[in-house]
Amino acid sequence: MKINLHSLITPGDGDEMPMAALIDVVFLLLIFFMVTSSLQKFETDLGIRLPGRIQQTEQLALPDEQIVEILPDGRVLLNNQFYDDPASRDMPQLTATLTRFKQASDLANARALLTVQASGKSDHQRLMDVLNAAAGADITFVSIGLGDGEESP
Amino acid sequence: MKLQMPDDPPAAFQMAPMIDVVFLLIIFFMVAADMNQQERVPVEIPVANHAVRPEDPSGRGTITVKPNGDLFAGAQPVTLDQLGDLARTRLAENPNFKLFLRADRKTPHEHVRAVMRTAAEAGVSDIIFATYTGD
Repeated sequence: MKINLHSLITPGDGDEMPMAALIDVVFLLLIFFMVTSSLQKFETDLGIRLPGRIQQTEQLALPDEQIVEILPDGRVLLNNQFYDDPASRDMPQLTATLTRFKQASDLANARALLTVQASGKSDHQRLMDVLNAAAGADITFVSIGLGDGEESP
Repeated sequence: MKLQMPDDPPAAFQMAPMIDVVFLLIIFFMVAADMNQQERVPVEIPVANHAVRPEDPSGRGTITVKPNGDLFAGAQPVTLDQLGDLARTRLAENPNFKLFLRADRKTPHEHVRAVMRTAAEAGVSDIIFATYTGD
């Protein structure tokens, strides 16, 4: 009996890999990774500089300083006046006041300095709201103090 | 005289290079997604619309603060003392070392303040708060 070896090795029409289904899956994977990677948010910066040491021989320009207090319930106090609603993220009243403060300091050739005294019980988001308002007013010299009468670092 | 033009072969769609490219794209997005999630402890970062995207994020040490006050350096849980030692070491290696503080928006300020105090005692003066620019 003669056996045709070639017909045993060569696959027939029905044995081919189903390319259409493979491509469907591959495209689905591609779309999934494209969408999930674009959904990831970028983290951005809001920076401060902690106070450092300076040489005593350096001449000091005295800054204009304003102190903003953050109460445990999220209310914000500046010059004995409350600003904005505790739920307000943009803080338009505080931003407008700080903008005027910055402009006045610039006119007086003084450095506008903002000190934030946040209560230890206040949320971190509230501190970021105040720093955001300072950034909106173009105030770059911001220091963070301690609330609740605790000792300074 | 009528010229007999040779028949063009039927235009066939080249599947093999297309699949190569698609697989490469998949691998790229898989690796990019994985790299984005490395050393990131999941927290709800606060929102600040005036924050800026960093031009040069090098020279930073990432500290994550959870709402209960737990601290992580990268993905490693640390105490305040370990954080101070770490900050001193990194500052000795790089005088321009900056602390990138990722605190949850619900974290009480006292926990954030403790980290800042530790950083100040270690000599780190640059602190950058992580924020999102929108909800």
